[in-house]
Amino acid sequence: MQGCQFALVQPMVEQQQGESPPEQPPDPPPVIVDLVADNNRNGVLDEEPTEEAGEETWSHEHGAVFLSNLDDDDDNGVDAHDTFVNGNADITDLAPVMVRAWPDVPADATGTLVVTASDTGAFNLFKVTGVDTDPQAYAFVEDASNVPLTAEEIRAGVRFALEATDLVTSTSEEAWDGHVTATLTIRDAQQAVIGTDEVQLRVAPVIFQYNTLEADTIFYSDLGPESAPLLDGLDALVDGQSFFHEGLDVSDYEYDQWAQDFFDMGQMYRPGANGVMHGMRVAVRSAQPDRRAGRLAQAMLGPDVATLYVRDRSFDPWTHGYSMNSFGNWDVVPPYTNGTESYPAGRNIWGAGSTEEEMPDGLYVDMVRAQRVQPEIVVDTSWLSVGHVDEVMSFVKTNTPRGWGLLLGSTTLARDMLQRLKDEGHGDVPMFVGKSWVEQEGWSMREVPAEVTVSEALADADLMAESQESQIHIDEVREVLVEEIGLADEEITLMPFLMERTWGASGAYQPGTVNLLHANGRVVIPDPFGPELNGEDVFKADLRTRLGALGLTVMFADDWDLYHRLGGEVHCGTNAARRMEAAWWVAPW
Amino acid sequence: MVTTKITGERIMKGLALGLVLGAQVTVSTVHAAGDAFSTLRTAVQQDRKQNEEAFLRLESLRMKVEAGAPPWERRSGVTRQIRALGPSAVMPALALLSYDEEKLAKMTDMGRVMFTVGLLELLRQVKDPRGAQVLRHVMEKTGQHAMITQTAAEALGALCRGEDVGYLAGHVRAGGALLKPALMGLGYCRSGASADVLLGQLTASNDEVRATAADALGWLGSRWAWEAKGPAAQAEGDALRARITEALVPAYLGSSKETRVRFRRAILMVDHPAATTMLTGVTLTDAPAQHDVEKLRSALRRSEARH
Repeated sequence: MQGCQFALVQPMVEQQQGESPPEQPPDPPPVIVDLVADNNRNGVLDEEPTEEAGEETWSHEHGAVFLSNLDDDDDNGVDAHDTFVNGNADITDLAPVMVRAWPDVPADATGTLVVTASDTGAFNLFKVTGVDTDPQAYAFVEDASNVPLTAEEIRAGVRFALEATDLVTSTSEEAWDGHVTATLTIRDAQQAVIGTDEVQLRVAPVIFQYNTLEADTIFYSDLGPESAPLLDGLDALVDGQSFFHEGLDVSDYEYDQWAQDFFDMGQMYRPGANGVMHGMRVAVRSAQPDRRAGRLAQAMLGPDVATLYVRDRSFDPWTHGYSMNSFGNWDVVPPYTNGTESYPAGRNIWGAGSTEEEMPDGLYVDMVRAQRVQPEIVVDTSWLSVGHVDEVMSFVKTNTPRGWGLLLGSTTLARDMLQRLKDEGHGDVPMFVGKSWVEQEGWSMREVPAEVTVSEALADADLMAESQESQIHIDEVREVLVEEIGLADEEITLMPFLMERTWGASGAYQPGTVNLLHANGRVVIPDPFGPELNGEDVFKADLRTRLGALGLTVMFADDWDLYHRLGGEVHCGTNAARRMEAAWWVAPW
Repeated sequence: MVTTKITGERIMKGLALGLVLGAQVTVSTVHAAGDAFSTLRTAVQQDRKQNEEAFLRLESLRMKVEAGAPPWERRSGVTRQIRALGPSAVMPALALLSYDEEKLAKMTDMGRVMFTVGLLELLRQVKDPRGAQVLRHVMEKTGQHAMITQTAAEALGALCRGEDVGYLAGHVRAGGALLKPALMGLGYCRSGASADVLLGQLTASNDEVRATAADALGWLGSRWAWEAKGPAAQAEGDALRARITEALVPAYLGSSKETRVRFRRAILMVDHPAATTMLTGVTLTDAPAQHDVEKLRSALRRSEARH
């Protein structure tokens, strides 16, 4: 029987006309066979009808959520990997499930709670045997497929708590899909069923962050003095703001300066009381087993921080796909609706090519797909020598009706800006002044200057050809994004820089201005070191004007030495932890 | 920083050691390579007398890469630094790619390939004809990373003299393992002779060969397109781009579903108004192909609007 509260059927008593009404027997006490989870997602177990409606099937409209309890609240390893509750903070990571009290249950009745999933090891069940704020009161249930309940327990009500021991990591039909079903059955003394009740819960997926979420912490690889120019930009970014920056010590990790690449921050959360999400961050290590800095992500395990590392050990580091496993190649389109399609948690976007060698790690991709609520958009990045989406696009908050917009690399705009300068008689103006392409300790950098005039750059047929080809590829990316998202032209802001050919593909020749860090309406853009007129960098002035009009506060960082000339930019060297915001559970998947 | 953090002192000490080892290797490889590069060796030795610092600079970069490039290293960061050394590094680069190549062979696989491609990109950029013999030598070596062969072919194409085009055309005619790199190399030469070889391959029986020829024609035409803003260059390049476009458009319309996008890109890169004219009114019975044609028309309109 579903529904959970019901009364015994009353015998009909026919009333004769003219007779005084017979004395009505008192209503028999209601039968209460009720298993309660947070079906209406308000963060508490309550008696509202919405707590019951459709509870037997999880959907985007209703259904309780539980967490993969993979953080470490008490410094003794992953909380879900033991059979006890790891302190008071850990209690809040468990999803409550309650057998509602039936005060008048027959004394000889018995009950059974059965909790099942396609993978029986996917969850832990605890029975609360005392005050539910006491971690000691949580008793691990050895066999969740058959939890006996006495009449006394049913009379008083019983609280349980549920945690997942792992994430959903595969879309395979054999893999656990994240759902758990709990069934309560109460029988009389003859073992006849008095009633049953069933609820279905779903584990919280890993939600990957999008740029427009409020930032808490900005990360960067700390290489000491070499990081100083970037840090100047980050100092300006956080100045007077409610978030801060934190350097990651990479001295034991091959001085890996690409903080965007070796880890990512995701989130797992469920609805909490008063509309506050409750959950944890997930530090995700890139699917690059021989990239030692990835261990920094695993070292972040702690209170409210879980870690995740999914990779194919046999993945070939020689392939283009290896670089595509870096998180610079993984971004998230902010939430949007396009016609009848709605993406309340946004959409993952990553780059790949058309051959097996140009694909990111298949196991990792499958894990991302298995989260289901941020269905992907895949664009071609095989034409980029590094192969990352952040080389050509970025999503930022804007003052437009959508609330966010797309910044898109444009070699055409860069060429046109330079051509205009030349046409106006400024062809001899140099750019990249004081910069060098070569980092050479022991030698003077000035011996190999990067300085080039506007006219020289425009006359470089190889540079122009590669820039033109890059524009064709960027246009293809744009077509995909416009079709999928429904972006209007005015929602796309072009970011100028020329591209050159290297390693059989394209890379930013001028600092890739689109490869920037966005936090709370503020952007740190790679200093373009463009041509200066009247003491002002023409490229900087253009970006200040156009991005300023979108409501963005624009800052620049000198990333030339540590990033630009080594094939990356500001975004590649930074990372961010952002706040939970999107109600992913309303996503229609 | 290329790979790991190395102090200046360590570099200088290592460099001194490396130069000693390098000298020993040079002796051994002279025997191995015979006299094939004797003229070059003499020229390199003369250059070194006047240009010692360029040799040391390149050697120091090589040692940094040799010290161990982790797999996540951005290869473009390495190749760009080598390229940036410019013309002064040509002779030391040629030495390393020929009679002194054992020095590269001793590097880790990843380091060797990254460094070698960097040397070849340098030669492709500088376009010094003294490199032709070495580039042919590199291109013809078997069993090496495809990026090395391809970049050597591109550097040869970039020289763009009759003999270089003839050499690459020979490999195209031979149709062997070097066919594809040769086609791509020809795309680096924006001459009519180079275009003729590539246009001839648009009717090849092999789908991949046709598409690679289209890729290369796109590059070739593009070397006139954006760069050709000046009136003189425009006049010179216009006829060639028109000719390429007139061949590419029918090839595009007859291309397979798998390769159509490559012909599309080539047409856009050549960027000649003839494409729009030729595609006007084209109607295909295959609906997806027709859809692609519409998208190409739209892309061409966008491109024209940018002019």
